[in-house]
Amino acid sequence: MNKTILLIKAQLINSSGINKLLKSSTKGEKLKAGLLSGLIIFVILMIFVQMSMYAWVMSDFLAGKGALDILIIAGTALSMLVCLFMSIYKAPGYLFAFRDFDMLMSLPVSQGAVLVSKLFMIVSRNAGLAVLLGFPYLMVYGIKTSVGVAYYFAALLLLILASLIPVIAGAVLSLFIGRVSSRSRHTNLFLIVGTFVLLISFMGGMFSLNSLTTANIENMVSIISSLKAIYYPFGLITAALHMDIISILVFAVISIIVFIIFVWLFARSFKAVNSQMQEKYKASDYKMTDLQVRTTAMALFKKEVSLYFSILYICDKYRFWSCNDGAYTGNVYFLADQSSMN
Amino acid sequence: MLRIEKLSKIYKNGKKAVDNLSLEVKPGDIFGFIGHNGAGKTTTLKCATGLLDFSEGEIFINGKSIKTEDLECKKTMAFIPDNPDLYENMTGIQYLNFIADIFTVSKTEREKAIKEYADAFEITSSLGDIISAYSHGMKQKLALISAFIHRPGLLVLDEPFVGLDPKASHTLKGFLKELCDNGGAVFFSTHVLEVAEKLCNKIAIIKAGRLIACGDTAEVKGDSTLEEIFMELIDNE
Repeated sequence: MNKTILLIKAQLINSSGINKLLKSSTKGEKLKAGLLSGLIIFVILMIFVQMSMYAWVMSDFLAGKGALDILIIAGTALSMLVCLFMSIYKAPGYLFAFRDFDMLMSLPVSQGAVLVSKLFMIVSRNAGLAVLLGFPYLMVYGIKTSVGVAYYFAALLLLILASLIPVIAGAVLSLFIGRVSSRSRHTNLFLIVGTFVLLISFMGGMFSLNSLTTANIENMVSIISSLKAIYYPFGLITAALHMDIISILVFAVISIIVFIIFVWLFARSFKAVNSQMQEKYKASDYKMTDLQVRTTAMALFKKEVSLYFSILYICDKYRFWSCNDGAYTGNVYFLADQSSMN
Repeated sequence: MLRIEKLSKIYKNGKKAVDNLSLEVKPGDIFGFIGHNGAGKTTTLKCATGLLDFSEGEIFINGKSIKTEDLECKKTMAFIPDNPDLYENMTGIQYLNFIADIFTVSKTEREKAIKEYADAFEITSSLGDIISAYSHGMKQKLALISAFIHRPGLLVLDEPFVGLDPKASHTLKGFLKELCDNGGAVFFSTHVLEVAEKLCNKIAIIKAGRLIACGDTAEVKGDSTLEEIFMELIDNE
C-alpha cells in the first residue's frame, strides 16, 4: 500500500478513537460514547437547520433584488473564512512540532508523504466544516432556482475543494506567527496574542452580521459582490454552480494545483522547519536568588495562570455564533502545549 | 555501518550542541554512547538517524549519506527515542502492523517476528489492547519490537533500558547480541554504566558536545571501572 495512505490510515485510527469505542469493556462506557455521538450529530443537525433558516430569510430579500447569486458567494465565503481560522488554530499542532515527529521522521517515508498525511487531517476536518456552514446557502439557492440533483453534488464537491486554499493560507500564516514567536522566550504569548487578534477580527465580522436589518443586508450584498472581483474563485464557483463544466474543471485544477505547489515547496524544508519550531528558548544563565514563599492556594493559582499563558486553547469541535440568539455552541479541549496535539 | 565525520550541530541561539564529533560503528559493534545530561547524546543520535539537520560534517550509513539518501539509509535501520510517542489510540498489534507495512515486511515474516519478540518480552496477550492502557515499560517493549520487526542492520537506541524490568533488560541484551552476531550493529546511549561496561565492545564519552574518549571498552576504561573513568574524565576535561 502506498506509504502516504498508510500514514493517513494510521492517523485516522489514532484520532478517531474507534478502538476505544470498540474495546470499551463496560456497557456504561459504550452507552456514554453512543450518547455523546448522538449529541454531536444533534448539534450538527441544529447548526445546519439554523444556517438554512438564515439563508432562507436572506434569499427572500436577495430574490427581490434579483441578486440570488449572492447566496453562493456568501456561503462559500463563510465556509472559506471559517476554514482559514480553523487552519490557523489547527496547523501548529498538526504540521509543526507534532508529537509523532521523531517516530515518523525515523521511518523510510518521504517528508512529502508525512506532510500530505498531516494536511489530510486538517483538510478533512475543514471540509466537514465547509460543508456544514456553506452548504445551507447553496442548498437554499438550489431550492429557490429549482435546479437538478447534479447541482447538489457539484455544490458539495466545490465546497470541499474550496477549503484547500484556506488550509494552505492558514498553514502559512501560522508558520509565520510561529517563526516570529520562536525567536522569543515568550513564544506562547506571541502565539496567543496573534491568534486572538485574528479571532477577534473574525468575531467582529460575525457580530456585524447579527442583525438582519435591510440596511445590513444591502451592505452585505455590496460587500459580497465586490468579493467576486477581489477573489477570482468566487466568480468561478458561481459559474460552476450554473453547471458550467469548464468553470468546475478550472476551479478544481486551480485548487488542487495550489495545494500541490504548497506541498512540494513546504516538503523541501519540512524537517528543518519542524526542528526549528521544536527548539525552545533556553538562556541557561540562571543564578540562584531568594525564592518567594506562597501559600498553597496562591501557589496553585499562580501555577494555573502560568499554565494558561503557556498553552493555546484550540477549538476541537466547531465554534460559531448563531445569528438569532448569539448562542455559542461547540467544544473546546485544553492542550498542555502545541506538541501534545495529536 | 555508521560513520560520523566531524559532526557539528548549532542551535538557533548559537549554542553548539555537538562540536566536531567523529566516530565509527562497524558491523558487529555494540557501541555505547555515554555522557552527562545535556551533553549532546540525543542530538547526535537524532542527527545520525536523519531526524535533525546538522550544521557541519557528514554522516554515512552503509556508505550512503544521511543528507542525500535519507530514505535508503532509513530502510536499513531503526531508531527508538528515549520516550517513544506511540499512537495511543491504536492497539499494539495495529501499531506493529503499521510499522511492518511501512518497511514492507511480508505477512509470513511479520507474523513470525511479532510472535517471537512479543513472546520473548511477554506482551503477546496485551497486543490487542489500546496502547494508552499500557504501562511505560510495556510501551518501551512495544517500541523495541517495532524496531526489531523488520530485522534492521543498524539499531540506534536512546536510553533503551529505561522502564524495562530486569527480565526484559536481559532479553533485550540477548537480542542486541544476536543482531550483532548476525552482522548488524547497535549504537545506543545510556546512563547505566554497568550495562555499557558489560554489553558494549566500544564506548564513546561525550561532554558538552565534544568527544572526550572513544574506542574499545577495554582500552577506554583500562584497569579502572567505567564509572571511575567516566567521573575522572568528566571532572577533569
